[in-house]
Amino acid sequence: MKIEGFVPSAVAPTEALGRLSFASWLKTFMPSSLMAPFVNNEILLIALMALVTGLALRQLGQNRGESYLQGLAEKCERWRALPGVWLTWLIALIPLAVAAVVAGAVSEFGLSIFAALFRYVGVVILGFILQIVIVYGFWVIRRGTLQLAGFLASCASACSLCLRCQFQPGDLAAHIEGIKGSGRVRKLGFSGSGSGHKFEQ
Amino acid sequence: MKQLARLRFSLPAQILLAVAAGVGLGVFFPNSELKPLSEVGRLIIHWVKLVAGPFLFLTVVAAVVQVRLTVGHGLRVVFIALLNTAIAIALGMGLAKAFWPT
Repeated sequence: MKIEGFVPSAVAPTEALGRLSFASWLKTFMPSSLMAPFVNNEILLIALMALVTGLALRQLGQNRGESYLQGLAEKCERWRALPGVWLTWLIALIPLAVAAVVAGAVSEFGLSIFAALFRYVGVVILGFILQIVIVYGFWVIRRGTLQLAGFLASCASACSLCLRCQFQPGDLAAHIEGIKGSGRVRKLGFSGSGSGHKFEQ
Repeated sequence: MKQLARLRFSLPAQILLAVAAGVGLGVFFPNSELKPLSEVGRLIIHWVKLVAGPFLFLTVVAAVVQVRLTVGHGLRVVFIALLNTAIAIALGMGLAKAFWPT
């Protein structure tokens, strides 16, 4: 269904980008400076730089002992709390943003915009279901040592926590602190005290 | 205080209500009267993307510094993650091709 004047951004880039090649893909990993990924908000490059930075810090900390590494991790956690609080505030404003965007779009294009949107959302949900059933089903049933029912029963509380944190990522540390006394923490593999937390082996 | 707590909906419920409110407003003000409102939404989404970068950076750095894995286990985790991602991309592209053939 085509709507007059409406170009869905999920479809347009194929034509805009032209032909993709290996060389052009490699060029996406060549930022003009160390700060360029942050300036241009390129999430993939930011994640790659974070990975390299983390590995470099581990290398530096190896000779200085476990407490040095733990100190570094706690510093990162403390700094992470700042954008975490910002994100929590911004996520609280998301319903306002959604209402504003929907009102503007319906006012401009009418209700027919939902026909294309429902189809798009339906295909995305179908993709999620296929990924969960085929891929994760394969890992759990064929490669795992658990039966599916046992797996689902044991991961229910972890899934519930993850879903809540997905909607409120800034509150992740608070959620973990909040459930520490419930006795589920050990099962999930969290330990430690204060604002810092770590996974147990 | 309890009444205030009751009024606090979960985020998905708030978003559904926001969609309904947006549709209602859009229907009552047709002919692009509310087009400028879209910019308010874009402003908030822009700021979310702006803060997400530093948040992701510090989260990944903290995780890499804290995690206790041997090199072999780490490589295995990376391989499984890449395999899952490749299958997810193939599924997504297949579905897109099936539903939007052109």
